Amino acid sequence: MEQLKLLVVDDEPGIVDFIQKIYTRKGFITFGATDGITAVEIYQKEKPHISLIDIHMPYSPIDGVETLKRIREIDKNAVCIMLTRITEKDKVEGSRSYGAFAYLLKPMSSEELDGAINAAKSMLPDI
Amino acid sequence: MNHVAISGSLVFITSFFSAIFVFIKGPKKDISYTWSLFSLSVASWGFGLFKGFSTDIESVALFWSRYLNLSAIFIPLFFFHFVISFTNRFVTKRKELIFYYIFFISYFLISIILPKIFVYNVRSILSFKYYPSPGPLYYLFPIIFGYLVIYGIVLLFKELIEASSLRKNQIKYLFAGIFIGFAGGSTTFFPVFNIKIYPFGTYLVTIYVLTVTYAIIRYRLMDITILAIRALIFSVVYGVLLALPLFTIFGSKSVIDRISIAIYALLASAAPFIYLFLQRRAEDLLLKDQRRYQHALRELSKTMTRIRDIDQLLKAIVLNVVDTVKVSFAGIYLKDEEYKSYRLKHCFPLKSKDRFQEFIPLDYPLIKVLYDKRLPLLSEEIGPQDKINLDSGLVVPCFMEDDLLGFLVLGAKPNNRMYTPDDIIVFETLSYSTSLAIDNCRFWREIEDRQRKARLQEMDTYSYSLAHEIDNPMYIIIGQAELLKKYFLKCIPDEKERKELEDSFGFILEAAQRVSGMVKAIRDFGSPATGEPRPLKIEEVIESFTKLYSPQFKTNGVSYLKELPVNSIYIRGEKPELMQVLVILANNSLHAMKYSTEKKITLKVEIPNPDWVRICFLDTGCGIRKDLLNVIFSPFTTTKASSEGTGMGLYNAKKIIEKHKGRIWVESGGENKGATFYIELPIAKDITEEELKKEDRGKRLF
Repeated sequence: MEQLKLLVVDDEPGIVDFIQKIYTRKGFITFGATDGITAVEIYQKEKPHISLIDIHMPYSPIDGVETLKRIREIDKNAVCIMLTRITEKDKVEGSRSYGAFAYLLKPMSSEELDGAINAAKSMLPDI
Repeated sequence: MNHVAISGSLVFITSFFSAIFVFIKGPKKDISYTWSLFSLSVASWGFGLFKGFSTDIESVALFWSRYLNLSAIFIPLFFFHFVISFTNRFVTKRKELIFYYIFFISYFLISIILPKIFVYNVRSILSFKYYPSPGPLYYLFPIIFGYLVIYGIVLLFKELIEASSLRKNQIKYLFAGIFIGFAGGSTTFFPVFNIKIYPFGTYLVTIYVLTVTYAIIRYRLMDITILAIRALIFSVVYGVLLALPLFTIFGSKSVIDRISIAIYALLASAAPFIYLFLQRRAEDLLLKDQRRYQHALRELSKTMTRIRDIDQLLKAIVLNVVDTVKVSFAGIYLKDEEYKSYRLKHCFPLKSKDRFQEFIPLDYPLIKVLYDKRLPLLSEEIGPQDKINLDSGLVVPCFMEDDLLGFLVLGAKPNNRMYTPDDIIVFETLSYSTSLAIDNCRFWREIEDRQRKARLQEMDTYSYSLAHEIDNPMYIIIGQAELLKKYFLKCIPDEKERKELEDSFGFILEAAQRVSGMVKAIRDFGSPATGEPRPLKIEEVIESFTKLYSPQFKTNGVSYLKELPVNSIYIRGEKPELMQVLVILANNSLHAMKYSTEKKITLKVEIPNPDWVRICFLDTGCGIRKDLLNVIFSPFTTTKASSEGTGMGLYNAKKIIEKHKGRIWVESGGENKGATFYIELPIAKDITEEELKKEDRGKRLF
């Protein structure tokens, strides 16, 4: 079975770092980005199977919803899980309309994260 | 005494005062000097008329006849000079004017050296015993007189046509006055030339003075100020009045009579001033004390509006009144909407408190009387139906428009002296400034309240976003710590060291999780209402509230008990809002139980019928007075000190419950019997599985 590729996008390097480490240990090939532009570039190059995108990224030139939109323009079947907060209701709605697969409320437990990624795995075409 | 003499004396007095007045008070310009000279010459002529026509002795009559005609020579000359100044023609008419001066003075000198050729003699004509008869030179006199006067009047007339409107008015009066004056004065010429026309016009000369005076006052003819005008009016009136004793003086033969009349006239003139002076001194002496405190109260009125705190203000008023007026006691009542009455706010001295009843209901007779009269009232005006023991004092109402804000109650003045009308006026002023100051304080308090609310709101949003900002770092700490733990545990072979390391990570993770938990509680409580009611388990609300408030109950020594039904009950609503209602009730209960021996809060959830769920919140606090049961849900109702509460809590709670289509009410057995708050909310029965799934907070798939 081909190794799954995971892209983690969050403007907090600390968060990107440990999620990457956890999933590397679980056998994923992981990529990290702390802004939307880099994330889209990486996506273009690597075509990861699953992307975790933080919606609220004040330090990034484009926010999570815009990043999602651009990724979905590259690949209309891209599987993206959005990381969000309770206050960002309209952005959650926005990402839904751009075709996000699921969203997770931050801070999420590792079980919640695992659950979402497993659900995403099942969506992928046979690998 | 004939009419010519009388009118002569009037002309003399009025012209003389006019001359002096304009000379002293008028602008230091040619116009004033020439007017003064002109008036003086007229006055001198008038004086001659008076003397010459009030004597029986021929030689005296002749002397004054010559005198008055010699004076009259200067009248046209000075008049012309005045017109030149008034019309600003000095530059063009200078040489002409000098010529007239030389001419008239020569005429005057010749007449004085050779009196016979000017006024030859006196003779009887008409009803006059002695009237001047002309010498040869005299025939020239009416001609040059008429020439110069008419010339002057023509110049004035030209000026009148060209003048602006204000100046037009000035000139009109001057013109009319001078015209009348000269026309009248000229009638004295007729009998001189044996024309038997009575010199009726001499009175008209007085009219000219009055007309010109009017012009001076009304149209500021010579830029004379109001103060000067008052002096002028005074002198004219006084001059006319003084004419009578002057007649008597000059008419009397005995010297002693003359002196005594003169002294009498002098004293009579001085009397009003002496009276005013003495009156002021006497009042100063008699009312020294009253003046002092009236002054003090006026000062207080001025400084009062600078005080911003209402309690301080009322205290300052009461203390100042007692201190300065030395009344036996003073108290101040202020309207208290909550108790529907006027409430005693301050009194001094403190032992006088027994005199006052703390609350005076709004419909009390005293209040009605105050509304009727709206003025400081003496106790005898109030009537015996009133219960305040006034001891012959004063009640001073403070009105703001039509609202009686409060009133000041004063005891007796020292030695039981009466309150004078002056006092009442001073207290009336004090009452106005008190009303203003009270209003001012309220205004400040409102602004402060608003600012405090704005600050709280800012803090609210700030702490909410802060909670979110804490989330990220905490998430990093927990995540990275877990990762590190896994790495290190693998690398450390020694069992004991591995155990220690595991403990260390345990502490870090536990502490971090605790912070996260707290932040989550804040977030739950502070999250803004989304505006759309969600399916909610009632026990979830209660559990969250319990988590949030258990520490509070613990520190306050309150035993907390909750009774929940076995099955879950769903309602529709917003968790943070419902939690807030419970928090409000809990805060109130904690406050109410501060001094209770038994401190217990019970939270019960019941289902009184299939449609409603009821939350009962029982405490063992100080309870609620029967009359307050209805008002405690109104805004700004509080029993706490102003620093502790805004009086808005229960009002907000009621609004939240009403938004959830529920009811809230309170029951209490009375004071010290505890209170029970009831909240009833409609049970949600139409909740679908999907909705519940959506609410499942774990994984959310679109």
